[in-house]
Amino acid sequence: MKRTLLILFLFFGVSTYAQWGHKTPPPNPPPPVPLDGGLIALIGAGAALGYKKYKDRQE
Amino acid sequence: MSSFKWGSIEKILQGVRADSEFVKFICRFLSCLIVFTIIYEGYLWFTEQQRELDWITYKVSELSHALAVALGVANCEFSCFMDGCYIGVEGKMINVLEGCNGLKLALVYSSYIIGVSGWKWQSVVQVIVGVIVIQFFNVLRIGMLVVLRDIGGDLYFFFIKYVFNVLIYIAILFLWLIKPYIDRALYKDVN
Repeated sequence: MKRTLLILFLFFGVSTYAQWGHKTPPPNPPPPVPLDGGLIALIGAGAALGYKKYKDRQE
Repeated sequence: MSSFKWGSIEKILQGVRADSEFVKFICRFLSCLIVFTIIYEGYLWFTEQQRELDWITYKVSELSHALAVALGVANCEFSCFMDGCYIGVEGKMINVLEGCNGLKLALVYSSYIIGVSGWKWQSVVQVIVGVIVIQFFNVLRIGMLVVLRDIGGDLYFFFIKYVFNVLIYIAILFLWLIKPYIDRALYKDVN
């Protein structure tokens, strides 16, 4: 029983590790789906929103 | 010339004194963003040394794959490599890289929340809820992109370039705009 459990544990451990992604990618990768293209604009928008908030509070 | 310079510096200093609250906000906002980015980049460097993919990209990809399967994409495959995950039907896959996991947006969102309110438990609640909302939209975005890529056509490229990205940015701005109302509700609970 203990041996079976150990084998099962090792099997799932190895398969989980394999899924995690430590392999080198194949050539000709598919197109990426980036999201961080507008980070600077978002930071700027945050600063502007903060400025408006403090100006409103002052008035 | 030198008097002009001194005058302009004095004007700037007066402006800083007048907007000291705003200056404090900007300092907190940017310093939080820098600290969070350093921690995140350190984590990415560590995973790179381990020759592994980072956990966030992996989880976002895994959930997006589950969503695509739930939305009816037949034979949807999912495999991860050191720099990202491939999701979709063979020949029509999409590549989820580190820059697609939405965490950098979540860091900017969190920095703003802490910049405005400081380190309070209400801020932490809003950061956690906001990060969950951002990741929910991101998983929805990638899942839908897998579906659109499976259907084919130019629609996929239109959505990938504009619609989904704009939606997530609008969601973040919306969360920032409703922050005062959330604050009011949370502080009312405290009192």
